[in-house]
Amino acid sequence: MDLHETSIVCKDLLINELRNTRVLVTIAMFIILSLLSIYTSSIIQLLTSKSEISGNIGFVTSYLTLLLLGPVFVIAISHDNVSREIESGTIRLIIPKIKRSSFIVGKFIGLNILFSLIVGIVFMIIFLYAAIDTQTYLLLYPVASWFLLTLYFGCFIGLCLIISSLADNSSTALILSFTALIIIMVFSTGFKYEFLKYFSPVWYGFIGFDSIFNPNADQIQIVKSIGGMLFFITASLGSLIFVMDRRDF
Amino acid sequence: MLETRNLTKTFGKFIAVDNLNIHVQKGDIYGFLGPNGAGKTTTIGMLSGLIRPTSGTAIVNGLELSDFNSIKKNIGVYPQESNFYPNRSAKNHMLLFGSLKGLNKVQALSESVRLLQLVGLHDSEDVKVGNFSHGMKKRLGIAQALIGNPELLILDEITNGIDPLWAKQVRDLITELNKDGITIIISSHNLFEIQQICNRVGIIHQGQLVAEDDIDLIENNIETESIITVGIHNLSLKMVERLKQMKYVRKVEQIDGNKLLVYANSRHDIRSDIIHGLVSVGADIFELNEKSRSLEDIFIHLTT
Repeated sequence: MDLHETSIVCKDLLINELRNTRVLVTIAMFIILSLLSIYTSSIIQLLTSKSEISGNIGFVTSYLTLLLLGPVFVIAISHDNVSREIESGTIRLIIPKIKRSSFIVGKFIGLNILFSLIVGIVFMIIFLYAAIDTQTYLLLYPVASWFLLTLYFGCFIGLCLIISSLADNSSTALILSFTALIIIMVFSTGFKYEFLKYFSPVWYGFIGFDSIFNPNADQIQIVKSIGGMLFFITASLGSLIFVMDRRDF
Repeated sequence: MLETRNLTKTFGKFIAVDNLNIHVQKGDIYGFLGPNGAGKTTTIGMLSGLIRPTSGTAIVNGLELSDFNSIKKNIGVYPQESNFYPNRSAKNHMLLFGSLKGLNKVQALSESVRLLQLVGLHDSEDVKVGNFSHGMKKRLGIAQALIGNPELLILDEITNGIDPLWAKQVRDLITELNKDGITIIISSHNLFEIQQICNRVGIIHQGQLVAEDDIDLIENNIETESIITVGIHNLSLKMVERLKQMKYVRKVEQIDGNKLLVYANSRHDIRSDIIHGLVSVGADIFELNEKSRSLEDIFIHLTT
């Protein structure tokens, strides 16, 4: 991998994704949906009159919304990042110029930065909303949520890029990505075999959620959550480089 | 400059390229010829780092193909079935590819200006490539391949699908680039094109190299069939029999009443033997023409 080449691919991805109408609409929907959870939380608050949950309930609902719906948006934006280049033939002009690992790592980092920014914007708005509403400045929740969800989305970005690198066209990549998402969601429930949940980033996202928002939670859970997701990211990045290195274009 | 050593690519049981050994010398315009599906694009793909060889290797400037990251600095590639981003301008592409080739922003910009000027696209540098004609895309393809001053340029079916005027301009450009010292490999199934611009040629058929030589030598060294038309006023069966008995004559056919087609081994000029043989049996010859052999004849002979 060459850092210079990687940074160019990453920069190019960010510039072009942010100019793409489809991507911008998806991002807008993502942010709006996440922010809607603030209003939902406000309604819950009014109905339950539980003032003790005031302040962090916005983060709780946003975290859960992003945890459950975020992967759909990750797929919507990431699924065709490599397959589109394979399908159109643009990859055939790029691969002879750079290392294959630089290309794929650049894409991976670019998408991670993009989603990290989106999640950052969501939690920044919630933080400001909570700060204005309750006059409390709860920095731990937004920072911890942003960090965990960035890792969480990183797992799905890696998975999407693997599928995108293997697929020869975007529709195949989309179908395979959603199939993989359903399998991962089923695994997170420990369906039939308890050990299956360890293969699901969703489960690591949930235990991360528990360790942030549940004061009685075992703090080792946060280590498990971060460690599990970092393992997923490393494994998917390794697989990505392996897949890219061996396939023909 | 470039040689392949038993370069092989298989897709399952299908052998696309079979122990290919080609030799390209510095300064060559090497024509890589073959019918559709012969393995040209797969070979170019392997030399461009797009396809992994199943076995064998290639040596480019003393470097093995497995070390493609070192090789790529000195080669420029325009692969077949490659495409540009339709919503980006020619200049934007050149800047991106320049950066990927390791140029800084100023160098990439000056290379972009120089190369777009060279291929005649300087007036369209800000136009989105989606609005480009096929010929303009091909010229942009050459421009992007030339970024970073490569010593070796690999062009796959470069004039395929473009009109004759553009094709000529592209051929002229290739000749100019070669005069500037760039070694060029051009794959094509267009024999006319290869004959026009190449000094060496390799012919591939069913994944195997069936001939490789200088373009003028290949015509002499490869045995094909020459066809000689003989016109005789007083044509008789005796004269036909006399021709059939001659050495190197494979077949004699009668056409147009008093004309014969004599099929002979091309390595031997038997025109004087024909004249002597026919005169000895009293023939009154009014025409004797040998169809000059072209690369096309050799190509058809080797690939059918």
